[in-house]
Amino acid sequence: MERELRLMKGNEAVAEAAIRAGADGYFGYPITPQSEILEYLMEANPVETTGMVVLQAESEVAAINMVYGGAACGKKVLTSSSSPGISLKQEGISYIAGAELPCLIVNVVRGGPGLGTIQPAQSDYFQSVKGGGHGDYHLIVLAPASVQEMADFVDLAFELAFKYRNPVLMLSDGAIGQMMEKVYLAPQKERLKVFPEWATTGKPASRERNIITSLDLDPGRMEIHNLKLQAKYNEIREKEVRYEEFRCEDAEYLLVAYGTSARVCQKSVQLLRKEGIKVGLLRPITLFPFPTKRINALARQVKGIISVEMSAGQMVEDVLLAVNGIVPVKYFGRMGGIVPTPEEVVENLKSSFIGD
Amino acid sequence: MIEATGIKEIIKPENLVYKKSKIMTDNVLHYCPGCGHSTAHRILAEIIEEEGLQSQAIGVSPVGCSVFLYNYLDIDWQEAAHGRAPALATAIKRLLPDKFVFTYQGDGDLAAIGTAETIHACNRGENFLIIFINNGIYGMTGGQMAPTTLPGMKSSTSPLGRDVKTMGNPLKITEIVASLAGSYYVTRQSVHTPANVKKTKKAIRKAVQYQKLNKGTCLIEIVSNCPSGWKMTPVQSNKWMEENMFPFYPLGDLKTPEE
Amino acid sequence: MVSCPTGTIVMAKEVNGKGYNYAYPANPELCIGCANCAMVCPDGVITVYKTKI
Repeated sequence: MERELRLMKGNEAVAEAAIRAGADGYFGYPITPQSEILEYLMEANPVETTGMVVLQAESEVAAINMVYGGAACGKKVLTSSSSPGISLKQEGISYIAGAELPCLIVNVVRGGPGLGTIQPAQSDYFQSVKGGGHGDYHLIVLAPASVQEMADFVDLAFELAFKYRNPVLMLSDGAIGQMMEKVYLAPQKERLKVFPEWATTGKPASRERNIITSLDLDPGRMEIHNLKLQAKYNEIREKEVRYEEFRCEDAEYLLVAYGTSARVCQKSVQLLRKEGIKVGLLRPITLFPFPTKRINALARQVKGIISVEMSAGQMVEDVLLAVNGIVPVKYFGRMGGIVPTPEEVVENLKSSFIGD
Repeated sequence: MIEATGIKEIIKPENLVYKKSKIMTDNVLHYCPGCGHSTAHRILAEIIEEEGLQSQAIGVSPVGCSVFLYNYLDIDWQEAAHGRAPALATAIKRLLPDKFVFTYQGDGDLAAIGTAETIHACNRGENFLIIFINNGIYGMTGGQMAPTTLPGMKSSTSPLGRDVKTMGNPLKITEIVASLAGSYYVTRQSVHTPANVKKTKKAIRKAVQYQKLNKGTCLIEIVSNCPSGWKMTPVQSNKWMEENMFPFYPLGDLKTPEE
Repeated sequence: MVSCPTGTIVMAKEVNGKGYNYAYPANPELCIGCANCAMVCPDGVITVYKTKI
């Protein structure tokens, strides 16, 4: 089917994609740099066209709990925020993961910690991939590197969320959220008419009552539940890894980067190749599940790996685990909202592994 | 003890005066003897059965003694995080507007951690029912002070009695909710005598009707006892409640649609 | 039993499996079928029948 071409901001693309994906509800709260998502949806007023509910909640805490309530009814619901607001949502996210509910949470990352800055950063990697909330759970984490991906990942997120009954986090950053690019928008999907059998939609006589909860005081049953969650995450690790490679076939050095850092590194690879240095870039698209196997395979081919991030070095730990000591792994990054330049990455790779 | 003769003539369906609602499951209730929660659950079950709401009702249970409410009433349930039930109910009612949606919360859930969710849901006039059990104490976690604990009342975190200078006055959250334009029907009841049980049931029945009108939030506060938390016998606690809680939290309608 | 107006139901001296003194109809001939007991019973264990004369 024909996809509509538009020039849009990343945030706006997420909002439009949510409407077209047939989302039932969006619950959000303003915070820079993602308020455009809520603003766009309020202006588009999809309740008139598709019936999608858009509500500005009184806090990020309330918004994530509204998502929980909607998801428990088997509906496609999403929320969005930025680093400090995502911290507020962690309790709700843990509950959603524990109750095995599908939903999408969009994090347009800004510099931290604390109130931080409003410029882009990638310092929420640990929070998104390793935990954030309490307990043994994982979110499926998708990392877009363009406005197109921000739009495409909305439908993908709902598909994965409902397939695995797990929350999905889209980890974007302030640069991609604010930049304007060409984006091809998918046609309007119909909102769900049939709901999963576990959803609370009012108990008909034909089934037992559905209880959506993450509480169980019996430790035996709780362990079984946790084992079930872990089995689910293992299945996700087997089946849902996504990444993109750029000039890795004959690479002697490897850059690993996602999101905005990956865009910077793509230029760095081109600059280094002009100097005759064979560098490749591996861009993880899913941060959970991490492309561990592929990075391990590439580690046997190259002489050194650098993880480039806009943080103090968070993804580098997962790269180290994947490489498992085969070759040296280093990290390069900028913090405070600063985006590294391609030339800086080039200099860093040369001084890390070549000469000097 | 009971005469064998005549019993067969008495037990007939047409002679039935009262029977436990079939909406109440056969699970044994875990509440302390004399607790008002169980009576409130029972009334709710009766209304759901009498109004034919079993396939329409979606309840949101809190964190507190009634966290296991979903084991006792045979309808669809969602378990909320502490204080967040109004946020869940907001989404449920907006996404499934034809269902009968209600939350059931205690005083810590609704008036401490959940104050923002309570006030904003009522301010937006979300069309669901909030049942608020106010016993002035945190029962489940062992009897700590609640926002509605009376001045001078002893609890495990106010062992010398609530000192308003350092701990603040009790929060009259129901009055605050009644002052919001979005709230439609706000009333305060109790369940400690048969007459009050009847009144509370009437209030819940009204709230069911009002929800169909989509005119705003209904809040029914049930002032109740906590024999374990108050360290009294059930009979003593009901008497103490009449003498101390009712003057502070007077029973009756705070806001009715005619106003 | 505070709610029963005729003294039909009293608290037993024995305890049940949970360790509580339970209510039981000690004087069933006094029962007038008002169902006050059933109304306040938290656990809903009481079922009341009343014949019409």
